[in-house]
Amino acid sequence: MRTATYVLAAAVLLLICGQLQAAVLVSPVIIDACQVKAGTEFVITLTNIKPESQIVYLDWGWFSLHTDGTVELDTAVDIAVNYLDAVSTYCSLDPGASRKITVKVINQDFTAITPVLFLSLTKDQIQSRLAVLFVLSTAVAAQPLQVEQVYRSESGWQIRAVNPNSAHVFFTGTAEIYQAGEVVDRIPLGRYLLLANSKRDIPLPANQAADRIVVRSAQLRNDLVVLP
Amino acid sequence: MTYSTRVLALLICAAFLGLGLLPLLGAAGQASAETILVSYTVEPYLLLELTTPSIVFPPVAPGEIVEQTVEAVVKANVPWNLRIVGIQTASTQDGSIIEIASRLLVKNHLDFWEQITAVTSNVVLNHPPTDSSGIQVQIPLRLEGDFNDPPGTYQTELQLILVPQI
Repeated sequence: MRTATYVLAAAVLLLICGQLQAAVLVSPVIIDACQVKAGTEFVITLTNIKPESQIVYLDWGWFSLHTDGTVELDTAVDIAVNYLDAVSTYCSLDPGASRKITVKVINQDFTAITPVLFLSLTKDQIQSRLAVLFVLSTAVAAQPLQVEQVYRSESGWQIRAVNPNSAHVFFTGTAEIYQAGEVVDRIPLGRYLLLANSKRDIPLPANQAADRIVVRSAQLRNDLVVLP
Repeated sequence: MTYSTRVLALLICAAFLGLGLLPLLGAAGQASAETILVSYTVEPYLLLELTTPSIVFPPVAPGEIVEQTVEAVVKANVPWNLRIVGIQTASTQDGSIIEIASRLLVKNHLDFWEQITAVTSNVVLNHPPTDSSGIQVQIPLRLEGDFNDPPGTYQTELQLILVPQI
């Protein structure tokens, strides 16, 4: 039985906070480059869309990618600082102003890395963070992607693509939907990152009436024919 | 050579000159109709704005559950994920930091209540790009009072992380 002894046990004040409603537009949030060398620079633009000044804090993390495409963030890993330098750890933004942050490659002793630059809008009363993903390779992918498996999941047909390269690759392509031997639709498949030497599931468009799906992609050696 | 012959010769020359200029004029006409190939790059962008700057839960007794909602606006031209992380400690009114047993939970992208920890929880997963006005995200939070916490007012922090889907 709950007694008065326990009444008002804990009133919890939760702050997701900060002084004001802060908002900064960040672009680009995906930086993809191959043949990266020491000295290569990337520029990120921050724009303060609010009528108050804001301070944006910069810190590094790392990301990985699951086979289903889920991005796994690791905020504790700071090995990115061995490869990249953002010069400053914070920048201030006047109302309505834009500022460019230059990130420089300081060490090319890698084949493929996936650092994350976190941009936080407050430091001591942590509020919101935007992640800028870096997809960097020192080489260029020379081999086509391989298709390990074509399977049907709850959400529809999927292909499991394999990147045999030591460089990251983006998969792009088109699915041609056939009905009764005729193409009835051509659907862009989107853009999917395959990390170096990894696998990724790529969903195909759902079409119950399709009797054939042909996947065309510049990253595959041959067209892929799926017979649902 | 008579005057009329000279005039005739001039007219013939003018005619040949005119014929000679025609291809040039034609070429000039073609040049004015040529198209220019314009290429440009649209960079992927993200914007996260918290429209709920802070939340105060009502007093809770051990075993009780109270709920609140955080609202945020996301704008993006790429698919995105919204995550939440928290800490297991809270500060008391006198400023000391203590471990709290009461649990903060968030309704995740699968519509299940999940405890907020230092490990990120997905609130929104693989959302398509928004239009220029963005999308308002409502994040339901739940506080479960625990018998092990002494009475008092506690303050803790959460962090929302906006991540592009790649």
